[in-house]
Amino acid sequence: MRARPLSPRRWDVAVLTLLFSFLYVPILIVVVFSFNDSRLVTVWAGFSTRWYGSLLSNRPLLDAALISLQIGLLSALIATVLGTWAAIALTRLGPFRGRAVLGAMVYAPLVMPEIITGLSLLLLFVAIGLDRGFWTITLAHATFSMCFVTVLVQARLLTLDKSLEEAAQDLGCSPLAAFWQVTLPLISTSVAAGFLLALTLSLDDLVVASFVSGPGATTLPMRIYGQARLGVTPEINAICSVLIGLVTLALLAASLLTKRDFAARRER
Amino acid sequence: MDCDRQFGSGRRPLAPWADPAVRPLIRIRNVERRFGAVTAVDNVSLDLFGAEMFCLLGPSGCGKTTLLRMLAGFEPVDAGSILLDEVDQAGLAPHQRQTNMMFQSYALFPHLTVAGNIGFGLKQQGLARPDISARVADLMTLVQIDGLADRKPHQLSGGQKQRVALARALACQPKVLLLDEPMAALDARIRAETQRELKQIQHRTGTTFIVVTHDQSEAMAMADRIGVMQGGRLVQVGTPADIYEHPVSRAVARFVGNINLFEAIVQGDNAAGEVVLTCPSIPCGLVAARPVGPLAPGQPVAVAVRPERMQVLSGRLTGAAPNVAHGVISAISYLGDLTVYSVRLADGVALTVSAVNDGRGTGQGLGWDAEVTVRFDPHSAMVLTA
Repeated sequence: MRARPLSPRRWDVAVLTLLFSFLYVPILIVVVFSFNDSRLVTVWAGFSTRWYGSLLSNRPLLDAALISLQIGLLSALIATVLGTWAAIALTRLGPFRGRAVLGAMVYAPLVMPEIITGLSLLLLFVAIGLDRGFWTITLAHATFSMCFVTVLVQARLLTLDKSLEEAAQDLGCSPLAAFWQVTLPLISTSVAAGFLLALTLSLDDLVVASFVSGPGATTLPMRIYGQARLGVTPEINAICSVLIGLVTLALLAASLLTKRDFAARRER
Repeated sequence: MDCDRQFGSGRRPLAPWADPAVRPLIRIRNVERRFGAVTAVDNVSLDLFGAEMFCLLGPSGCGKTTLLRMLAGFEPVDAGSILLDEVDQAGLAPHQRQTNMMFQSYALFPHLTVAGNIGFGLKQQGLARPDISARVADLMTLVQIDGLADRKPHQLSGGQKQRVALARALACQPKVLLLDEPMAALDARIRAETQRELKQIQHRTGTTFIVVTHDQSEAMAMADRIGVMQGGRLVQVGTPADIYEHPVSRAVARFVGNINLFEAIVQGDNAAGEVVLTCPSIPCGLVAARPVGPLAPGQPVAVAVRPERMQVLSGRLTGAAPNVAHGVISAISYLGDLTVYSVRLADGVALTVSAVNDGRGTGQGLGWDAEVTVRFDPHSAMVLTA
């Protein structure tokens, strides 16, 4: 039958092309127009890197970027430590009171609307009288990204043979020493992937940060959003392109880590 | 290796359990372990001695691994006590005990090399690096894996992994080495060879080995003594020959080796001091060797006969005699050295009889569906009351 217009395989390709264009063409436009030599965002006037240059002299934007980076690293660190800890408690402590509830609650923030997370955290910080600013954003980010770390590390721990930790203890390690010498090296890639994911989530967040921030603590997404409301400038395109680059790198690194880990385990 | 240390001939008979003057290395007293409503280890008491190879034998789920893990400190003792060298082990964490364990999965650390794995315990003891290297090299020679020091576990074969696990567990010179199904992950082909080697290594190091296994032939091949566990209880402890020749119950007789069981009723003694019994399968009755315990006339018991202690003869033997049954051959398995006959008696009872093929002509006239006579000596018949 030569009249058949599209083979099933072609259909697949067509649908995939549409899907990925839908996802990535807008992002591509942002990146392309960041190299536009015109004040007008939608009119192409030749290639230029002038907006990246002027970015360097935009003090408020750079400050916001610095704050975002600090909050991102700090909150990711807190989230990684707490998230890993929680994963170990959930997989290694055996049945304890509240284990089932805790296990289910770990997943709740993953699906919780950000606006609710933001609002509830704001109410909490107001209630306990914490001054809003750098630290409240850091805490808020650590709170919601912690669950992502827990889920990642928990998945790895579940596939890890428990007798490895027992063997370490049998050979003279205290439970803590067994964790440092055996468990942590074996889950390190998942922990690192969790850290990178937490960092990305923090760099990306606008809603929660808007709720819990105070004077003097404006993150990069907040600054960009504020400026965009006054009209999109090519400078915003430029900073967004930088951000896209950073996030892509972090996610790529995270997925490479998990993939390498998976491949190494399959080899065994 | 010295000749007298060779496995087999020339080996000194090891029987400290028969000598009341010898102090046991481990005293297990009335220990219990419960998981909810299930009692995994039920009132087990056992003495274990220095340099002994002890096999805990039982079907899966009988509590043998739980008992092993209690010795290692991974399972709490709900009741009773475990003493190692007269020291109560209660409250001692695994890393504080002088036992080491070889895990069924081997549990080799995948991020460490073979040398790193074997030296792990020595590093925990704070030994200097050169001392660790020297000891690791010795151990690698002992288990015959020289030259693999820098390999990672995933680059090893199953047999090599097992050797690394053994060397690692022996590194700290434990008083007792606990082995959980050490052969389970090995090819059947190399199992017999590995059993012999394990026995040699145990003999050379003089360490007490406690081996958990569900494989009775493995236990028979390696153990100085076997402890048979069933349903959380230790039902019999003895040398392999004890267990095979004098099982305490039908269940033990069935679990260790092959067995033919006849349900019978005690009648009394004959002139030779043997027990006379009636049995529906055997028209002229049974005569069996006298067991240690008392027997009352009319008591229902089982008479057990090993397949190799029975004789199968072509045709029907005429003349009434005890310990003789008639039947037909329902299956034949030719195994080379042995031929195993399945014989169906007139009342439907199936017997297994094995015959050694010690001449080319053996087995003549014993074909499928052939009428045969099965007979056995009174001293080959064991009376089981439990």
